[in-house]
Amino acid sequence: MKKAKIVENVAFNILKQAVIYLPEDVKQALKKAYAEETSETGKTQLKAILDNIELAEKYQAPMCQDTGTIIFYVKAGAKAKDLEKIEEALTNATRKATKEIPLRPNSVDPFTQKNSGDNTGRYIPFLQWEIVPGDSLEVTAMTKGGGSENVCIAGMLVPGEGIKGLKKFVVDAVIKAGAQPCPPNILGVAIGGGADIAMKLAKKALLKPLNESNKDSEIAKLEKEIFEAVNMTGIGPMGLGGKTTVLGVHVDYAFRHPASFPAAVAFNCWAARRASARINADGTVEYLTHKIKL
Amino acid sequence: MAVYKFKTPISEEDIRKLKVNDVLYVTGTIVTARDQAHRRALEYFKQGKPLPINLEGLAVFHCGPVVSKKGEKWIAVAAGPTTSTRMDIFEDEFIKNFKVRVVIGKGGMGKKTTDAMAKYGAVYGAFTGGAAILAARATKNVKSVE
Repeated sequence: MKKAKIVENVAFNILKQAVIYLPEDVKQALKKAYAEETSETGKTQLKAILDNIELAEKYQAPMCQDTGTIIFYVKAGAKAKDLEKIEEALTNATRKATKEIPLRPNSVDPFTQKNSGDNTGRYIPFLQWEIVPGDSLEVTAMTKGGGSENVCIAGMLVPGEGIKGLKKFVVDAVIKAGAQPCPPNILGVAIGGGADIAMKLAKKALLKPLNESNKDSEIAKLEKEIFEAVNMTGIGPMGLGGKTTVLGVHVDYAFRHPASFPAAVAFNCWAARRASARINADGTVEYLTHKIKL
Repeated sequence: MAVYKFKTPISEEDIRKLKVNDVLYVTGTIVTARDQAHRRALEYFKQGKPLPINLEGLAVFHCGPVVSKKGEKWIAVAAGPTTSTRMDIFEDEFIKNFKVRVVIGKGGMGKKTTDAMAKYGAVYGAFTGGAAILAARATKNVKSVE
């Protein structure tokens, strides 16, 4: 099979995996939250979420009707072949997935308000390239819900306030978001670089599994502090009260300009849909996040 | 947390029995509408044009479902709620003019809407966000798409 066709098939498969099967780490975190939630209303919401996850798998249907904006993160081996064909293959996979899974058409021209009907359009699906050593290709699909996207926020903080200012910024963002991003959420937090760089890193941090703690112990500590602080807000599942407001927090950073302290908070809903696969140079494929046959 | 089971059309008297945090099951005709449908319905009202369905006593559901078509029949594949705050700019007029009794969505709504609910007799129902298959499997029949 031609490389482009393999990429198209793999991208279709990971889109399907992502929208139907929640990653195991997120499932486990939701089960833990259900067991530990003390608010009666909060518990009913988590129960509905857990039931819904099972039903999505049983009926092979997208767990949420908002199947999101489609973003592909591609780690391309510097020696991988046919890289110029990848973008078209991913766009074709998006069209096919929209029709066959099906996905909701979520790509609208902001000027004419016309929906393309197939989840493609200018810059969409969005591609994030990274060149890595080797000859394989790792593709990750993120289908990002609009409700949680609407509360993402970037801000230029005061450098003199440092990490303390960052913590306040994150907690304020969570309180302001309230029930809107379908809590319990996953937070990606990033600082440094510039306004765009911070948001890019924050969003990418959403791809990290919840059970993977930060290798940097200082950052791991910060993640824990933010996690505890936002779960003290009492917003709870679906904003109806409870102690589970977020399932996890991932922090990333870039070095900053001396005069700037860019910060960004990216929200993901509990339906944190992501799936990855690696395509080797010989055309063999390994599915990295989902061990499920399609 | 009292539990109520209502079938549409729902009377104002029945809806006023509900208290915050009660559990409500709604059976019957539910109309999905997001911002554009709200805007269109209110434009119809202003022009004196009838809506395709009389909304009095019904439930409006903030939902943009994933649908598929089998022959001429629409099937709801996934149908969870969308964020309701987007409809805040329309909902008070919508409740006043069309007399819907239940507004279903996620994330809650603002004061303008809740004031209209108190005045005209309607409630807000929070459906679990993202629980789209629960909602889709409870849909017996898609009556029409406008």
